Amino acid sequence: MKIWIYVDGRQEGPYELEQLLNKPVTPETKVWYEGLPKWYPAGYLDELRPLFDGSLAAKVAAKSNSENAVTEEQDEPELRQQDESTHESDLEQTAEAVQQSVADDFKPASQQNPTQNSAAEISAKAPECPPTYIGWSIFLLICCCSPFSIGALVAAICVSSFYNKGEYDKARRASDWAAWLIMISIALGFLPGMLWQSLIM
Amino acid sequence: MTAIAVVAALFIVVIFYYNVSPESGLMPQCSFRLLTGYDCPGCGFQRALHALLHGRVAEAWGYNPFVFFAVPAALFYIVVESGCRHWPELHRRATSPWALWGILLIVVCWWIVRNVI
Repeated sequence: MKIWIYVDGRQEGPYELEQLLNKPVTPETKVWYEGLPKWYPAGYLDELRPLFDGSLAAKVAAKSNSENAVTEEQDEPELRQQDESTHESDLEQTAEAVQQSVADDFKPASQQNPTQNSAAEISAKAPECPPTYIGWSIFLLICCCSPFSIGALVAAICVSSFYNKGEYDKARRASDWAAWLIMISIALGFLPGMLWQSLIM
Repeated sequence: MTAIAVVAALFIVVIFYYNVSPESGLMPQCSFRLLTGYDCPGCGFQRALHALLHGRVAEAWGYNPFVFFAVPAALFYIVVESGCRHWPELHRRATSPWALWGILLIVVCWWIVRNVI
């Protein structure tokens, strides 16, 4: 499997999984291989887990110990060159196309607006906690109680229970609902209430 | 930065409430109370806040005691949620379904109790 990695601000690759053992790849390093819709941190991808839990390193060590080192090294480079010449150009083009979106993906997650997160995770590990906005909904409930703030509280509960069950899509949608309900609650509750009061004063 | 905006908004609100008294009529009314005549969980919050800002804690307690728990809880959750990456374990426990259902339960109980007593 040909894997590209992004280190020191530039793309490197393609590498085989075993080669990544010698590369400065951490679970936070962004990687891409054919089939992924975008670059992912290596720790998110199940396929790369052997790289980090030591099983790949053990496998490589076992392989080099049990087989004849000289003949192995002579055969493998030839085979690899044949593969790379036919597929490398195609994959590199695709990788460059995907790299166009790399700039967007590298926004630190803390800056990304949670209500706009819509990336579909295919082989990613458990995604991060979608915001429940429970704090805001409690605050709104006592500030200006309205069906919207109650709805926001219920939505926060939905986010939490979906996330716990592992239904991350529903959790994210509930989180969006909560965000909208809170904004509507503020818009409808606070402002018109104050305006109306000052008008009939 | 949202943090600065939030702090500034809080500051303005605090000053506003310090100067505006309930008699001036500038405080919005609760729509639930207008419609049904019963208190909502937050009724009296603004009067309580006003009293607190002027140092009259007992009076504030009389208007809406729930606020003394709800406001710190709300602040706690806002902080924990925005920093959920720093304290993942705490965030997980605090926003578990159990905790949130418990909050809803407490709010509903308070809603009923304050109208019955």
